[in-house]
Amino acid sequence: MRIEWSPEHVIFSEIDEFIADALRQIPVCASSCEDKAIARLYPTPTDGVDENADEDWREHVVPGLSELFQTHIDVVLKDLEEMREEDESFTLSFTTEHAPAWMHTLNQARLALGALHDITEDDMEGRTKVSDAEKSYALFQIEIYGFILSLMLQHTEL
Amino acid sequence: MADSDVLIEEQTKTDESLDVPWNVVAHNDPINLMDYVAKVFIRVFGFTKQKAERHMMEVHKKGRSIVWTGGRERAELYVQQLHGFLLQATIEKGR
Repeated sequence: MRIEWSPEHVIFSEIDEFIADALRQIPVCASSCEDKAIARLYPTPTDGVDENADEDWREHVVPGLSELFQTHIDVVLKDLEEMREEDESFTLSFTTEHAPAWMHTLNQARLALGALHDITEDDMEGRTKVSDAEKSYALFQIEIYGFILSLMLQHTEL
Repeated sequence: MADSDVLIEEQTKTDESLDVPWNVVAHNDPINLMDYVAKVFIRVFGFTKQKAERHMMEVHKKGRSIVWTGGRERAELYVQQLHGFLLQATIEKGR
């Protein structure tokens, strides 16, 4: 995969089918409704110390955050719909104005995957042997999304 | 006890909870990129790059870092902003 960054556009080219599929999974992972993912994406301000404050938070703050996150996901979904196939590879292009939404959604997908698969610091550092195929693929997704996110962080502000 | 006494006592308790300094604590997680965490600190708190990286390293090595101390309302606002960037953050009473 090649990634080109210009002042106006970000272009991913020479994407093979495997990576294209992983890219299509970004909004899916970010939108996970599993309890573990929800708990990670929407933590509370006192982590259970003040149950009333946490409940107020869930009622008044979380809906706004959820709406904000969904606007980012919608941008990524729309860009991914424009991914086109040519000469047995895929090309994805989007305006740099969408970069903040991409960074947020990539991070959201990584965090949801990490929560869903109980990814630890040791897993991330490669200090554990992962034999579970789903967890291995989740680690791959976290890595590739992290690579793209890291590249974007070098070129643009949050 | 007259109703007005109860009201005064409750008012005092509320004021005390607002007066206590509150810490905004950022917590470590194994997934967030270190560069990303530092950039969030710069964006939310206006930290210099050096200060943001110092707090980021404290989060990474010690598991948590107090990134701001002050009134509760503002502390909650900062936590909301940090959650908006998907960082794990809580408030706690300062000493």
